[in-house]
Amino acid sequence: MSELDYKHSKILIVDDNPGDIDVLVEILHEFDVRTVLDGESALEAVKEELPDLILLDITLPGINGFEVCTRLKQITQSAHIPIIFLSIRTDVENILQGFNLGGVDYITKPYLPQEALARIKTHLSLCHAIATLNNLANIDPLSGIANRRHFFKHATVIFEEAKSEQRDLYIFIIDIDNFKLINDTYGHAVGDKTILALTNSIETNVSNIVSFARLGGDEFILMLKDIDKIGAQEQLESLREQIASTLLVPEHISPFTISIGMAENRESDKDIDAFLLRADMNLYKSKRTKNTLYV
Amino acid sequence: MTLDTHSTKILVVDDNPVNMDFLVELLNEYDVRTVLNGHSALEAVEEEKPDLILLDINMPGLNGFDVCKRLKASIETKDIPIIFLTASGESESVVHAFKIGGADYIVKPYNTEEVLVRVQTQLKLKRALEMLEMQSKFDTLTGIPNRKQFFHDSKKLMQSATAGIPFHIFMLSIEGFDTINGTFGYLVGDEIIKAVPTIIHKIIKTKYTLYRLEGTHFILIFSLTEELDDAIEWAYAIEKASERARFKNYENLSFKLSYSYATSTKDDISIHQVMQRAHPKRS
Repeated sequence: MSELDYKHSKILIVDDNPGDIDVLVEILHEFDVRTVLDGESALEAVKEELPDLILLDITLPGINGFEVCTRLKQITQSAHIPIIFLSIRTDVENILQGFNLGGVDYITKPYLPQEALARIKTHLSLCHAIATLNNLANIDPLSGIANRRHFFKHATVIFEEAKSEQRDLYIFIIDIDNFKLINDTYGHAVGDKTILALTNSIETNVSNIVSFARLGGDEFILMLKDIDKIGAQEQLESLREQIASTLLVPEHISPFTISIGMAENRESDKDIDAFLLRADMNLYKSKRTKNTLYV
Repeated sequence: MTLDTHSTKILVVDDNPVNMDFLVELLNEYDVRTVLNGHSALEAVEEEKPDLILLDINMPGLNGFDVCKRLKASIETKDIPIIFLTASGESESVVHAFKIGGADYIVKPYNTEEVLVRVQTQLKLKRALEMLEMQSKFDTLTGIPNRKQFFHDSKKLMQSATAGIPFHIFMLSIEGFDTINGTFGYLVGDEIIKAVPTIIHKIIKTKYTLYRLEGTHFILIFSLTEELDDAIEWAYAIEKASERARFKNYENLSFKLSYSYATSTKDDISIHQVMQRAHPKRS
């Protein structure tokens, strides 16, 4: 549930008793709630859209709650979703089994709305905090987009996928011309604004982005997929022209310019490094030939 | 998330020694302290803040609810999670327990697994929130205060400046960093960034705060009483020390921390104005 406030959390309720469901829906009115009446439907619903938390009754027609929990824990995508059991079974064996199967809590029916809500909120906050923590390590604090570390983790997966699907992939390495001079002339605050202006321009003007990150300093990287070469090239060329002709940072005397190195994936690329190296070389050539997008 | 249980402090408050013994035994992996009444509980918290409190509701004198309310009323102790222990589980008292800020409650007789899981959940949540707080203030690579914290702290500095106590701001940046990254790779670049706080720490023998503003830019703030000439001498010494710094396995690697500085005036409205004025060393 990264990037989502926990108030927008999605909760899946699995219970075969419509009366019990109504009570829960009422308690959880501030959240985005979905309900299903049996185990099979619960598995389907999770496959369709991953909830942030599952409230799971144990006695269900067909496969029971314990079985649903076991299956969800076996699937990578759903293994981390917190499951709270809600049951009329109050015996120690059932409670123990619920926890052993990976349930994060076990609430016995009848319960008070306050206790159910408190426990649900506890687990949503925990999930949200952990997701935010993981996210923070992947984000560049200035631009708010992915950092280098995250890019390489993510990009390798995209590269391998495109390779196995035999799909085209384009990399663009972008940097700001004379960024040091901008910093020295206008000060770091304006330098920072320049970084933000470029980030914003790319986000609003380029489509089909599968990965976008700040590599460090004034260097950005962009990966485009599901677009043809000419389309990809044209987008970036028009971005470059637009930046060069618009005063995006009011403090600047004249618009700043960017250089771009482009590369497309090749069957012969053993790994992403070979692919990246071509984009890097082309950026270098682009710098030397002054402000062209180099393919 | 894994917890280091041995250094996790749990305070158990219960007037019944038998119940107490059971919990102590159950939580033997944690650093557990026990007290028998509400007053001792408040004293114990004052002495050493626990990570979690297990609090019996029915006690002679100050009861569990009273203790909870007092702890939640103080900014120092309001974030310590409290799990109530109750013999009854009757609805009124449970509702009240949550209303006054209790994180959870457990009904006696205890179900071992349930106690352990609820305790762990509260500890994990507290730890995650603490880490979140830390990460929002400190730079992940160097561990020093980050950009956000600088702008936060700058408000106080500006207040002092307006009141007539000026401060000196030094903006340090690593020169030629792009070349270093290009030649030696990003990981070596990261090592240089990490070395900056260490170099500065070895040089400056007075009070200062160092922030990582962004990328290769750092901000150094000296205590308000430091003379500008002395501060410039420190900065100069840092520049020289950075040029002398050498890295294992990279004999040809060298860098320089150059600096520019400015002093606040009474008329400055924002920190940006002061930063904008920063200029390289006096000619």
